Amino acid sequence: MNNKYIQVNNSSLMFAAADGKPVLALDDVSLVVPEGQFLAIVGPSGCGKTTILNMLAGLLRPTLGSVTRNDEEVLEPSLDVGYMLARSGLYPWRTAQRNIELPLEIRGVPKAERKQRVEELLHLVKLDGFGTKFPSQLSQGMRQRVSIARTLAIEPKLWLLDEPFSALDAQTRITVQNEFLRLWEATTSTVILVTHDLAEAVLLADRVIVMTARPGKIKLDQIIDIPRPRLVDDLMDDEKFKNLESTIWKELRSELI
Amino acid sequence: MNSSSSNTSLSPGEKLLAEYQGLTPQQKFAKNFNLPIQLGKLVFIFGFISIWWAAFHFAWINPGFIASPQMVWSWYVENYNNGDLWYDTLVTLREAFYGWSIGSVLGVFTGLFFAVYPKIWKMASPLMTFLNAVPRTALVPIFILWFGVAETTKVLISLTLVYFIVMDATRNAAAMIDPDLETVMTTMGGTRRHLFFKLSLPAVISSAFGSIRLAAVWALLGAVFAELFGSKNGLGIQYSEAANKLFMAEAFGIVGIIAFLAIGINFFVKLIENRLMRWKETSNQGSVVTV
Repeated sequence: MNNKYIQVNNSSLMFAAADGKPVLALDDVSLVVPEGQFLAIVGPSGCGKTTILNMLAGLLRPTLGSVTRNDEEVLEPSLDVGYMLARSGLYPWRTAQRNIELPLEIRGVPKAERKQRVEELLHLVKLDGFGTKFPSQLSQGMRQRVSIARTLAIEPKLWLLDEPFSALDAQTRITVQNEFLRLWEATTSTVILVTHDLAEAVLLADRVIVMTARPGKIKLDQIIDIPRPRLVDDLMDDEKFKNLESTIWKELRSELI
Repeated sequence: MNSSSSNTSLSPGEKLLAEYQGLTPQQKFAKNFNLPIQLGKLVFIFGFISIWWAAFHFAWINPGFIASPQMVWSWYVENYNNGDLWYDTLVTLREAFYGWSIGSVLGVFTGLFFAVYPKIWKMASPLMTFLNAVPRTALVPIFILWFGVAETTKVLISLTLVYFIVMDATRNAAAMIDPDLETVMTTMGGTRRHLFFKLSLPAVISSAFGSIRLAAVWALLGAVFAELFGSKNGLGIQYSEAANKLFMAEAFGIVGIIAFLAIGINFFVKLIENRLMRWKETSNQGSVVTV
């Protein structure tokens, strides 16, 4: 296990908007994430949470500083990183199973093997029998589960989650969160979840980072020592969870006001 | 309550459902058959034929230059197994098909190319606007000089019509591709080739297909139009000759054939479209059933 699996070193990132006006999205952010950790990044909109994810995904490079994974600088997207978005990002003209197949096609996995793998994945996300449905024929929660299965297909070492549960209704969100925890807890992979929902961050993560409003800086770094396996719906009444949430909320509130 | 329980315990809604499900397709058709509308369709068709008949019968138009409905009908009856006429139809359809398919493929690929390289589009767009504005009427004589009266000329004319329709639709469709889908593909390690074949191409073909279907009818019209100027075979040249010789029944008959071909082409391409667009099916509830 690499204790410095991910390192963000004194990174600042500036965007130049179309009108030439510069926007400083991140200001001197440093962060170390050990392998296997579930880290949640919480902060107000526009604090640069998604920018950090995009840097880790290799889609953006910091203006100043550097980002490394396994001691290698992240310069481009990597095949063992899974990226999930708020909207499912499913290809509407592909059935559920063909969506899950997509990363395998890109990797050049032979067809017979793909088919078998997809069956297993559909079973894992409890969507047996829904493989031939198009996204438009599935509910929001089912679509997000297909999206999880698609990300699982690449057996990611690192999950980058950009508010993947935020578009779901309250009940569905709990089911899909539990589903994700169950699947992730069986692996040794690292997760970085970006969310504006503090409760979600505390329920799911091992560690929560709170960021300030733009330009984003790290304001608080808190370990969440709630034992695993966790069940989201049970935890909601847990004293420890409530205490941690209120502690962090006090920190975050001053940023929001 | 389940379906095995006796009829007496069904709720009013369940009873309704059971009754409707028991209907044969013919009975469902009969239930949905709207007599006034069907009669209305006949009224319009009958009205059209009456005015046409009157124009001939009362000589509103010089009877030498118009055929009556009966004359056109008898021309169809005489010629339905006329091999030459079928061959001319085949030639025109073949020209239209080549024009449509080549024009569509070129339109989709260059449209995507321009969407991917917007700077090149900025440079090319004044020329493209000019080329699209060139009247095809003016092109036909030049093309005949270059390529003769062979089918090539007709294919090219219909191609120039199809190309601009499809190219424009493709460029617009490419601009509408959900950027999330691109992020997903890129983070999965997809290359430019993957982005093109697995995202841009299918996304664009499905959203530009309405225009591709429209272009199929334009392809037919383009082919017929080019044939009018000179051709060995084809409905256009047959029409032109019939009209010049004042064989009005034949001329009207051919115009009718062309119109029916256009309807048929639209229908068949629509079938392909429905097949390609299965994924767009939403939870369509249909219309309310009235009792």
